Amino acid sequence: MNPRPFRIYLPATADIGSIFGTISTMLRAVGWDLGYKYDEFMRPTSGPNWLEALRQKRAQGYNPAPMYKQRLNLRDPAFCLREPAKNSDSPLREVLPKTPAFYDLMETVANIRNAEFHFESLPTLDRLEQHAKQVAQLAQQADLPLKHEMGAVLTRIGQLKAGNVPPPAKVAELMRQVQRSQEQLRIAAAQLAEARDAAKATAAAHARLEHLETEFEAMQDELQLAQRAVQAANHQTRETAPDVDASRLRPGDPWPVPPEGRPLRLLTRVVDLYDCEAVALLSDEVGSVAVDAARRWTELLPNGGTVILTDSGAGVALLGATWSYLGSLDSD
Amino acid sequence: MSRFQIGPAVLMVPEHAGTEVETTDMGGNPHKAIEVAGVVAAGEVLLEITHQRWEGGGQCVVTSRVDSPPAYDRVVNRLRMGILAHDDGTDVCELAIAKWDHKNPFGSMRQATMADLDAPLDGSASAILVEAGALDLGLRSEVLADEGRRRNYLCARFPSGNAVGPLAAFVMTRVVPMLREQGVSA
Repeated sequence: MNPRPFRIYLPATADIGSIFGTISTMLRAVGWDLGYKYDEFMRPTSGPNWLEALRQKRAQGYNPAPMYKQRLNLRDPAFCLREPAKNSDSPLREVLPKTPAFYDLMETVANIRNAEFHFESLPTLDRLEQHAKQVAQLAQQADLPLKHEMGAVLTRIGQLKAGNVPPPAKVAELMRQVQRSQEQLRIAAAQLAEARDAAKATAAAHARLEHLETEFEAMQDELQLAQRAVQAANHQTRETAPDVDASRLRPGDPWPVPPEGRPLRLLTRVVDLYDCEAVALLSDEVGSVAVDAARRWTELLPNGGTVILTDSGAGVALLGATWSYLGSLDSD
Repeated sequence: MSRFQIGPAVLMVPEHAGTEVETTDMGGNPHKAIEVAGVVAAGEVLLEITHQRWEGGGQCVVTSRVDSPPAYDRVVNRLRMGILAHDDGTDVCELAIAKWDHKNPFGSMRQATMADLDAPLDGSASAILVEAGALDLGLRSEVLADEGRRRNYLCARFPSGNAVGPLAAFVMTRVVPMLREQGVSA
């Protein structure tokens, strides 16, 4: 069974950050799925140290590639793609289609990885679509688990190209996803702590420790992605919320009506806003804009205090005895 | 943002590069430091805590009890936790535990075992520290090859400049025992 703990990120918008997210998770998934496929095949016949044995064999050969000069990582797409594509005697070819066209495809995807991680150019939707088509072909032909995700990726890219922006995912559902990720991370941390203790006692536990360390890192990445999705969804919700027209107000101006919204506490030293009802910092929900806003609003409220945050993201607080506009969460 | 459940408390630390401040170390010497502050919440209690890191070391301290009951004044600017920058580029914190009694109402730090740390958490201290980024934890003699008088004290090693890990250790060893002493449950 493939225990890959993350899914390919579906872009919610056509902005560069979302495209980066999709490219990065897609290429990581290629490495992860291929690595597991190889390991499942090699371990029973060549033992648990097959990867290091293969590395040493390549390192002793004629003009070895630089990647064989250091410890190999089974989830690295560069190794998983280039080893079978470049070496006709590679034992990994046994679990792959044996056609020259397939090895060319592996080379192409390896070149995509290289170009993307060396920041050859800024990504666009067209480029992402080309990459996704190549990866989909590779996943289909090699029968990788990620083939089941590529359909959704290509559909989403098509929607974005046609201007049909998908509706924002429900914030509550995304928050639940973050909580699930946090819970998984907590369980993984407990297992990792246990494995580190065990590894001190026995060398055999080292392999399990390495596996858990990698999974722990992947789960941290997944949690970050989930948090970013929540922040993006919250941003869209604020943009569409009806509220007082604050476009003509400047920070410090009186707010025209009694403010309605969430009471938050501006913490000047923490540089964030605290929601005592949710027991959470605002930056958890909306990202770094909360930190930037807290910094700006501290100029008007140097000792902190209660701030009412309206649905559209306007900060309102009592300055003296007057409800006053502090500024918008999203802009300075 | 980083968020950790530590026994009855929730530690929250926003993600930003920190603020440059001037501070004094435990010997009273002034330093330019980078400060990352977070909050600890548990029921009606809300404490502001900071991690200050200067060249060669740092400290964690409660800076404000915000609207918490006055009893929590006993941890404000007291029971600080020192951070030692180790030669291998990591930060090391000692894991002693705060204790109070009628003779010593302001508390002091006492040597602890892992079981002492686990007890007020109703869980595993090592799991929380690993979640917060600990690279290693154990006796100073094991982690630092310390042969001095404190070799049997527990300590944790974190990547250099990691504010969240030391703050989690600080909450675990000072704030949570204080919450328990005040009768706060999960």
